[in-house]
Amino acid sequence: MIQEIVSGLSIGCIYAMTGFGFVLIYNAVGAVNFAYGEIVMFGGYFGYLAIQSFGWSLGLAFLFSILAMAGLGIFNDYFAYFPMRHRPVVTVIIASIGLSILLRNSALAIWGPDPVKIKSFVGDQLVHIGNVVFPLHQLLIFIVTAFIFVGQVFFFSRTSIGRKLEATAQDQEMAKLMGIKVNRMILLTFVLAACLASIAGFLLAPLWFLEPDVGLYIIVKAFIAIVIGGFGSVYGLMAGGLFLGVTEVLVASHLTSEYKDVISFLILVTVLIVLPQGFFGEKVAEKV
Amino acid sequence: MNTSGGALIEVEDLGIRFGGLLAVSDVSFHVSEGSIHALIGPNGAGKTTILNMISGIYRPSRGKIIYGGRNIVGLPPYMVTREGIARTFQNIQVFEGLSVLENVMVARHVRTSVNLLSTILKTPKARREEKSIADKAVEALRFVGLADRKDMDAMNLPYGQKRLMEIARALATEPHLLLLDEPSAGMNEAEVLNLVNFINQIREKGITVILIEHNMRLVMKISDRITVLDFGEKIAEGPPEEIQNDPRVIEAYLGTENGYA
Amino acid sequence: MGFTKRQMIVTLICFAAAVVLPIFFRGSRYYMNLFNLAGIFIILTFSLNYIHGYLGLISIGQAGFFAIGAYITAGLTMGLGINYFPALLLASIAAALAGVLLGLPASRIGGHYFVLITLAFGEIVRLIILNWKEVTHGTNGVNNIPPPRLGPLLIESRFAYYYLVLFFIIVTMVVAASVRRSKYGRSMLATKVGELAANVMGINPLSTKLINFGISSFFAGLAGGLYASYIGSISPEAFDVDLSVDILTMTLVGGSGTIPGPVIGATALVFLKEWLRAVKEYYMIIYGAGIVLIMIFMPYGIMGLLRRVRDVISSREVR
Repeated sequence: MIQEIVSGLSIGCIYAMTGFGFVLIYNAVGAVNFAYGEIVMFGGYFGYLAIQSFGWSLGLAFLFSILAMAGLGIFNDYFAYFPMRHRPVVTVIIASIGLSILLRNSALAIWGPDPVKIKSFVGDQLVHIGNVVFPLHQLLIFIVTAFIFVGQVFFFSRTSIGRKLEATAQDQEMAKLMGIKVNRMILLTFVLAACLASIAGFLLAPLWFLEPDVGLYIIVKAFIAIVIGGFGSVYGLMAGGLFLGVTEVLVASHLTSEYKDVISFLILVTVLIVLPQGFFGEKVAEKV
Repeated sequence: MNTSGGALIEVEDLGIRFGGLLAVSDVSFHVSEGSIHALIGPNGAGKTTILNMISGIYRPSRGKIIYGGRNIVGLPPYMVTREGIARTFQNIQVFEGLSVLENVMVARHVRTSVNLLSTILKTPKARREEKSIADKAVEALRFVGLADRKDMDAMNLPYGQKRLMEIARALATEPHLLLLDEPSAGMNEAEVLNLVNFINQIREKGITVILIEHNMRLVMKISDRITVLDFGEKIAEGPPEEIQNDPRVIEAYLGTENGYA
Repeated sequence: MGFTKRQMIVTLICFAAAVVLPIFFRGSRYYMNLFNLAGIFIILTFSLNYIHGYLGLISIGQAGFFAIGAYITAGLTMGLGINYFPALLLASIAAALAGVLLGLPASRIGGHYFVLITLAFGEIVRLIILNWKEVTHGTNGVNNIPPPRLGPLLIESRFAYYYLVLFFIIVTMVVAASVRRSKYGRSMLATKVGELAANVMGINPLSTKLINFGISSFFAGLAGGLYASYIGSISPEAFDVDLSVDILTMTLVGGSGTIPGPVIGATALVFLKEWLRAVKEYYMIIYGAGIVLIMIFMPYGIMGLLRRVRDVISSREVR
């Protein structure tokens, strides 16, 4: 049972990590980015590329992935957001759906449909605490997620660039008046989110396999975590991710593994009905 | 419904908080049937917020809104409209992509009854209803003098005419009470004169009016009673001549650009 | 607000063309098949046209309603021996009910959540079909679905099926036109551009949206029922997210919120997909990029483009 919970928590961390980058973009441009799951997936695939095709070490592959992902972030902005920034939000959302198809099928064309794996930074070691045994990689996931979580809170509240990003996210017009270069801040957000995706991808790849469909799977789960936590709250997102991860593992092992995902979706629908603003979110009034 | 001269709507101890901020606190006023009642006050005094509470957009944190003998707090906006309260908006709300006529027709739907299946099958009853929707809408447009513009895309109307269209749209719901939120904003002198005329005609139809206005000449000319708000509180109430000379009102307005004309 | 004379003439010419078209292609099973698929997709695209065109929302769960229509039609005809046409009607109604049911939570929420909840719905339906093996036979699917029977007439050939589909396309279009010109259509459009203002004008946003979802999923279900009996066998992989995205793309390419839009969009994409089969691996990549490019360069689809051309021409005539 404890083992299952630990494993659930580590999966939940991946959901939350994906959610972080996703919410970053959402706050900056006011539109959900459906391609973000594929972006996380590419973070892993770039690492796989460096290791498998270039023969690089894991550390170098990670650096390569971060750099390549920064490029992907720029591409995301210039191709699927910037030209439409003055159009209705729906346009941007649909463009992100297009980008997600483009990326998913590019992965399929480059790496094929078969699942691939990359090794963890901590190898396959197991940790024994009392009777509980779990992979060291799960511990790594906890540490990295905690680090990113705290780092993110610090970055947005304490650093000047973080505050500029925050100001842009809150009110673009206001930010412009304050002399912030909004377009550059948005570009930076896309790049930052893509680099975060690289980390998420490297944490995810050893846990599951990388395959072209994993992006869709992970984005939907991150979404559910966000809805549970309430849009806009990092704390909520973290809690939502952990809750979803643990629930899934427990449902799969004790109730039904076939309908595990159906149950996740039902949780989503239930939260939307009962508590549309999530557990940590604030209700926003519409203006006339 | 109340007898003529009685209160059509009674606002009792109305208050609302946004976040921790008290936007309106303990405001009470009665509007007698068939009258024109103005709400005035400096910007941010809470006038539009009160209209938003009456029309069901905001839910008050406290207080009652008694209309036609019952408390309508908690009713969604479309139910409030069904009960006979219509309004216009300070920031004009045009249904983009619909013609002027269609914009007004939308407001008639609340008075219709034909179901979906009959509508799709175009039964005689549905055709009759559709025709009556259009006829009543044209009638409302004729009242504000926009009948010849009915087939235009509503977005292409000039500003002042959009305001008139909003009035026609509100009237098309067949209200007992009409809430007008700064109807003269953006209108020129001639249009304002026209507007005064309309508001008086609306009253002659037996419709009670609550009016938010910055144009004091207009307010003083047509209002039967005025409630003055400042910082979310009521500071005075009375007939125009009394309000004009009230020292508290003058004080509230001092230093603001909307002083008495 | 009736049709203009020119619209009437164009519509009649199109229908006449649609009626005589298969006479020239009767010998080609290949083209007849494409026509029939395009026809089914036209109906399916109309279903999303309601949600996107009239409410401004994006659904990527239409495949779910399509699947409900397909499986229930198959189940009623094969399992209970009900005649095809009542079965089709019942299946469409079932899909409509599912749409209303999904609409209950979905209509309370904004655009972003809506996309998500429809995505979730489509996946739930697919996963249930995949796993509820006693009823749906899981991945094996349902096979040997009988062709429709109309009295003594068995609609079996692609040629005959064409006219069956054409009949339902006409029904779909007539309903779409009559909804657009009714109080329901106006309420939807008003809610789309100003939900709160419409609410204040007396429009109940919930019932307006539920009616929209109901009509929308009815036609998705209808398309599903036609598809099941046309193809003769159905299995879960035919109803995945990719199908829902296809429907979205067709809606956008044609021009959402219009009556000709879905016809143009669905037909164009069915043929484009077929012709691009030669470059299969790269097809989906081009497809994804294509969606983004459409959003950048022609967000109102082919109909929007035509309208712009027309405006340019008419403004030149004035000068």
